[in-house]
Amino acid sequence: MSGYRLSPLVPAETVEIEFDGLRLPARRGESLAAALMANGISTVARSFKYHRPRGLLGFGSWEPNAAVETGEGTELATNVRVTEGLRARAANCWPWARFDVKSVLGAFGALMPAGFYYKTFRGPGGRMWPLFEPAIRRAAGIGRLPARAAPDTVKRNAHCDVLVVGAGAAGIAAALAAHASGARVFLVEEGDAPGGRLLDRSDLRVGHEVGAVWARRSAEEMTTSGARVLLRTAATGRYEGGLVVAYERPAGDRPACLWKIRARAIVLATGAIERPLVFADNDRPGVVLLAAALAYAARSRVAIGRHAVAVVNNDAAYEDVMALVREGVHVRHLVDMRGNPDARLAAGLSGLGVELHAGFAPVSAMGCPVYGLRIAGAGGAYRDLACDAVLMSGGSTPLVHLHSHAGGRLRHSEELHAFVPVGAHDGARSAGACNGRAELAAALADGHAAGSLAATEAGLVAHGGGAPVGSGGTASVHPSAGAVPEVARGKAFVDFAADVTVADLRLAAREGYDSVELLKRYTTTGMAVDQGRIANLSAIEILAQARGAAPGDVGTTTYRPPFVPLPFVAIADAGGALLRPSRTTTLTAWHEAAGAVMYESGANWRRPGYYPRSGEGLEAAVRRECRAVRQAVGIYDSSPLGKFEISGPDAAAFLDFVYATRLSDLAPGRGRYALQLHEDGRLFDDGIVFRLAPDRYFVTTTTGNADACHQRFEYCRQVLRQDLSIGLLNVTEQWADIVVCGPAARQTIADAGLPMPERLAFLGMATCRIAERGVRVARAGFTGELSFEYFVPANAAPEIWTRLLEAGRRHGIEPVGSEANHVLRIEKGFISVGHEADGICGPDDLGLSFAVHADRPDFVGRQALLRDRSSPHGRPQLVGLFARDPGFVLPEGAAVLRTTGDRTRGYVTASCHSEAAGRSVALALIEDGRSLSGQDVTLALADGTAGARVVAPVFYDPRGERQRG
Amino acid sequence: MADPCVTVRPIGPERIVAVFDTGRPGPDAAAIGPDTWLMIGGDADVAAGIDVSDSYAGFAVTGPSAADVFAQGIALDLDRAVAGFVARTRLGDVAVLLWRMPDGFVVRCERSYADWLAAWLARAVRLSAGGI
Repeated sequence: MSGYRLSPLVPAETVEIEFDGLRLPARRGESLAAALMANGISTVARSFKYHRPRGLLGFGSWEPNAAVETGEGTELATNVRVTEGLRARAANCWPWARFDVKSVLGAFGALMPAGFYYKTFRGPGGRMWPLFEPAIRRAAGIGRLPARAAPDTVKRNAHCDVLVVGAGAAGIAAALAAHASGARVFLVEEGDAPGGRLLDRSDLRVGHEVGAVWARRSAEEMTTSGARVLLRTAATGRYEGGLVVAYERPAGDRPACLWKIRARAIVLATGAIERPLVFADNDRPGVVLLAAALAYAARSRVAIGRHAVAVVNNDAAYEDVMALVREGVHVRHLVDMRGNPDARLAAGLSGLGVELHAGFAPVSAMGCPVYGLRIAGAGGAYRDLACDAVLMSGGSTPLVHLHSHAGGRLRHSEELHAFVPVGAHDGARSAGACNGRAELAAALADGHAAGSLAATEAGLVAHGGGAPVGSGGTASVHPSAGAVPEVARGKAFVDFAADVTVADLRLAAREGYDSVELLKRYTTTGMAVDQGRIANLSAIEILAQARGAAPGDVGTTTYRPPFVPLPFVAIADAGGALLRPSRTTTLTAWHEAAGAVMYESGANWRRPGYYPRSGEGLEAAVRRECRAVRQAVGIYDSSPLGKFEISGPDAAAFLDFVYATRLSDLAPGRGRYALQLHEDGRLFDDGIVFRLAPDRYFVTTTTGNADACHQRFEYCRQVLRQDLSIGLLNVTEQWADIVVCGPAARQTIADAGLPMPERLAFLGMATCRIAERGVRVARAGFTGELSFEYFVPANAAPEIWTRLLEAGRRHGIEPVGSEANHVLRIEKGFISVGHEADGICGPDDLGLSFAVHADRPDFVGRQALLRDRSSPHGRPQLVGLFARDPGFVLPEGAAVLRTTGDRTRGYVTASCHSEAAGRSVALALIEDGRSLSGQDVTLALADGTAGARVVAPVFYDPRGERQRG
Repeated sequence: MADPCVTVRPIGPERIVAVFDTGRPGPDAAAIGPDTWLMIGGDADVAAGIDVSDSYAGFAVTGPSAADVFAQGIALDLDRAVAGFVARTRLGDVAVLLWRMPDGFVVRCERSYADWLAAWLARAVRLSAGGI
């Protein structure tokens, strides 16, 4: 190929770019593809499987070959804009596209038929797949991850009455009609300018204007009067309920944007793309789609070659060839696969000096890059035509993807040899070339009608004006036959992006993969980045030939988003701190200032893990914090705890239903440890429920389940117990929870000058006032020590926390993090939902039967709980474990066996070194564990085994005297 | 903030009360559950409900581009958010309450998400600064 510029580069707009190590002059703002073509670079890529040299085949997003790396990920060269200093390299090769080490694979092409990898590595007896998979994946992968952080991508929601996808003739006509009715109109267009095919054909006119001028003026006028026209914006998916996702690559420095557009009615005017023809070596650099060659000439002012040959099977292609010649590109021959050309078109060609070969089919491209095309006539007569570019037009593929994404149906059109939409679907109707109406006048009328209907559907009154009148472009796009000549043999490519040939498809059909979905998966046709846009119609045609069926009976594979490739960052977001919300308490700033190591914990909370002093590690810090709680006083921030207020005349009855623990007989000012069960009788959540007043409860849940408990409360009251009248409020955020615990807790609180009800008993709750604000203080905690929980309005927490710390200093107070809390609760054998309550255990398994009051008519989980009692054996039961070596901390999660070689009987749920117990301790869930008390068990570790003795699951103050004291 | 078209300002402490009522108890009341409403401001009668003043953090987002800032995370049709508009919705992964104001919007979230929401708003303002 010998591409060149049709208009010379002006110095002011010239920049230097680098591609595969070559420095090239280019025009600022043009596509990298155009720049490469203009510099005569014919080989721009290597194919996916065989690493065959490949040139440009298409234009815009229709390019299957030219994937390049630009430092920001892999992108199509047709979508990369030339900027100063652009550096790009072909993606699927090493070191360069023009010389690729892996091209040796192409020599073995005959040995790599369809299903090669399955047959060789996964077939009967093939155990080699795990061995070869990494190497195959590396060899097949396109591109590398960019080293730089992903650029910002904006996500933006938008709403409109009528969304028009595509700003070609039909799309503009539709948008004008909807706009005239007063609809809020969105018009999205993937290209740089409105007009579509009008941009390529100066002979097409709308009204009295050149078509491209009409398109630009119409778009500008609509924008001025309130419509939204987004250029460089590709609609990538259509979903139920009028949602279309579109990806905008703005010109200039603005970040890319992923639009989520919700429209009352949609017009799909996505147009059509040209089908390649299938003949031997049709993938050689220099063989391109005719429409692409025309677009490069008309829009980028770049010629594909100096003497081209066109191969076509339809009348419209004649007009494109004539337009191309008028743009200044020399086309020497036109090969028409049909026998009797239209006389008017033939005359037009000969007037432009193009020699016509009617009734010939393409056989093979010659040379690499291409220097000739062999064609065959009906009688088997060959002709070899010298050329430096082959332009293919195998008919038109309507882009029905967006119609089909959300479930729109298709039918096969015998005239078009293609699939077209059947009617409107979910408020979306197709118009123009994607609807099988490609000729200009028909497209304008179709678009106008669709736009008017869409406005009506959106609740507006259609304006009623007439459709724009087009002239020119009358030749039919209907091909006389398919795009796969009988003579197609050898490496005649159907899917350029996935490297699938006509031979692969015929082989697959012979081997029985003769359903279109199986054919796709077996051969990978249609599975590459272009999602089969280029290949699928030809693949269906080949399968239909092989089965002796009609293409309409073969059908299509399923169309799925994204319609054009999207960068991951557009979907996943750039990440960083915003990717996942992180929750803070009003004390988080204090924890961070105090040097706490912060952990991500349940329900998105960021919590202090431990507070190391300088030079102190995790273990020493945890030991110090635990010691303070057991011997002096500790303070911790339990604010994330789930908290609810349940009030109203039926509050007690409601809680009796939701909880397995009776709460209706609780006296005001008292709390009770209570359990929620799943419907299947397993433990769901635990916490302390306080009764504030006869008709008012303050309910605490675990942190991680706070939202799940809220949902369950709502479900119970809205669905199961509509007979009960309650008020339900999640007050988790309202109340900070400061826990002061340890033998010196009382003195600390007194020294801080905080109110403390004198006779507050264990699990009692009283209200008092601190700094003019109501506070709830409870005798509760999770450490087994004398413990006071101050539920204070969240914004009052920092002041109260600081007062307590200052007062506690002379008592040896330490702030305590979640690591030390973990140790303290293991020592006491307190269960933790998520550790011991693992969704399998019921209350009895965890030794919590005392909290189940089953002598009541109904509560969630009761029926299952009673049934479970009939088979008490083989249940996982909570026990304690002493490792044989008291200095060895058993790993959490270790499997418990009765003896070496036994099956797994359970696992370690929590484990730590306990200073209070003077040794390592662990909790475990073991099958019938309580019956094993005093016996030895074996633990399977990553590197051997360890012995342990089963003991009661409490290692400190078993009678609970300290917390009640 | 960099964009003169949008200003983000945290709202100071304010009185917020949750009340249980079958009908909307006031023009600015926001529904946070079936029959459960948030009443904002000095008129809110604490005695009639439950004080949740510490539960929420709020930001006033004002200026001509305010709706564009929220469009980056909220799926509602904000063109139709006229005077009196109140909604409970999602902004990214966070539940928020949104009120239309004469000069923009007020957004409130649970207090624990305030830092995240402030950072989100700052980024959204920065990303919309180039115009859309």
